[in-house]
Amino acid sequence: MIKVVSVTKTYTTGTDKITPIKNFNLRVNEGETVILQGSSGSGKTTLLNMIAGLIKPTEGSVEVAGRNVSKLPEHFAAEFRRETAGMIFQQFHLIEELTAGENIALPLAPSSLSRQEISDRVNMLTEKLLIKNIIDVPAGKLSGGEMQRTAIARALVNSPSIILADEPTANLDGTLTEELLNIFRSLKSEGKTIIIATHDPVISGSDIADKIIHLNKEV
Amino acid sequence: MNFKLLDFALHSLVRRKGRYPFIYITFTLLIAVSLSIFTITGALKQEAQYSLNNLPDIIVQKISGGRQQYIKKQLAEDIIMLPGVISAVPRIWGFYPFEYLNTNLTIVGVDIYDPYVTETLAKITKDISPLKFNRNIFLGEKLHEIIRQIYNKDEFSFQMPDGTYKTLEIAGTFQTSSQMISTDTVITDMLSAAEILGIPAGFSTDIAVNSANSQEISTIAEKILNISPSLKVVTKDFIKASYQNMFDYKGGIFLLFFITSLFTFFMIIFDRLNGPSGGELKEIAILKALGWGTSDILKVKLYEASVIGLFSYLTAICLSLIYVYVLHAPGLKDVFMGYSYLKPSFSLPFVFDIRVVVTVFLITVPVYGSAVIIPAWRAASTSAEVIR
Repeated sequence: MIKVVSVTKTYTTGTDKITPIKNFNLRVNEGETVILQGSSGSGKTTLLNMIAGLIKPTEGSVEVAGRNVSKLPEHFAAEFRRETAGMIFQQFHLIEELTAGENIALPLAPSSLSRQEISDRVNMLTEKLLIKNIIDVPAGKLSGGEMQRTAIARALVNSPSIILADEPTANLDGTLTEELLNIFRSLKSEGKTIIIATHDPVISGSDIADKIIHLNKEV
Repeated sequence: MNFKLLDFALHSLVRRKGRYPFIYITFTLLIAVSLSIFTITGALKQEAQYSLNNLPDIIVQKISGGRQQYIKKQLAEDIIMLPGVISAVPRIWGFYPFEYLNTNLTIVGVDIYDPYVTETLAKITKDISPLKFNRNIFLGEKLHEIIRQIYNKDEFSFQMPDGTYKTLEIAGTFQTSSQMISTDTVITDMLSAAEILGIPAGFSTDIAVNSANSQEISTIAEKILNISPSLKVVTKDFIKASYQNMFDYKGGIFLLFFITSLFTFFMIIFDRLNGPSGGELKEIAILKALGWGTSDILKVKLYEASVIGLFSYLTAICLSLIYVYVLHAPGLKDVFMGYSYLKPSFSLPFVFDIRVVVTVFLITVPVYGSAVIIPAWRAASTSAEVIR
């Protein structure tokens, strides 16, 4: 379960202060799929980053699976991300010079898993996502759809219980968006908790959403 | 050690083809130059040491009006009477301008009837043909080659102060362990040397004094000074110190250049890594989002810096050894030795000073490592919000 309690996040730039999220509450049950909707600057990405333990709230707390991630020291927050959360970014953010397989394996490099175990996981995922044929292709040479699947495989390689996706369809055409929705459906059926930040009506209007949350831009 | 992170670091070095070769080459050259300077200084000091070991314990000169004058040979008889002195020999030597090469030859006159001199000459020369009175000379090999090229015969004509010429045959060349000093030296008998240099009869250039006990040198020097206020004594230790200072001074100048270059290099490195390196910042942010901790990112950077630093260092050691001992330090040796047409052709003695190797390592590799890791640490600590 994810509990976001009275969270406020304020960014300070020089003398300017921006508060994209103010006194925000959210509860996501295990296995639920939640869509975060809102205009640019409404704090969707900030909220995802706080749930992932990448940034800490200015006020309030974020609890994931019984752990207060907003209080975790940096080292444990990284470990938490590695073991619990998988992130999918708007622009995929693959490392272009690495192959698709190496990109997928990246989250496991600091782990204690052996090379063979990592290789097995990568093979299993590339088979599942139908990208086994591109495993040795540099990410910079992949098509949009292949990049998307590679990025998803990378988010899943650590077998996370939570998937956090930030505008995952922003760079995809209709066909690829539908493919992605099918992957999300499959993940949902496996019992994964999924939080998707999007303002794509195709996603928010689909059957995968258990809950749609609107975030308003704070002034 | 996490070999998967090491793998990633090595990959990273290969991936950034434009960046790391630049750092590797610059860093290698910088270390190689500094090691070469230190190695040449050390080798030349040792080379000088070989030469200076043959010096007399004390050299006595006559000074008048602040300038060195010829000294009466008779004074040697007073000096030999001093307790502790085992020999006091008047020496005839001086400089002969050799305009063809725009340099000065050092003319040294020796007592050809002294068995010790004959024996010494036999040891330090090759193509031996005994030095004969008023007939011939010994000289450095390089000078011999040049004279052969100029005159096409084994003799040399010296112009004396009265304008007349004195022609002497070349009896042989030196093969001393050090050619640093002997390369522009011409040895002949005392009378010929005095004639060439214009030294009046009964006078010598200076007097070489040797003592029975090195502990007594300073006492003997004091007693010599008491003979006449116009005398000046120069001890072997003083000359050795002068040579050491000369090389240290030249080495110091290069050290200054080296430190300046080093500082500039690290400013460039620091600037490159500390500046808005978008690609790297983004990569760090991605890795953090994927579950890498700051410590994992720093480990990768440490591996990268270690690989670059150590490889640069090892390459630099090899390059400096090749430059100094195989190529004989072209360029730098001239700076330390002075420019001359009669460049000594000796090989630098091999000197491996572990202190120099460790010092250069400590002032380069760890500093480079810090210049890589500190900006990476800053980026890893603040990059969480860079990507979306």
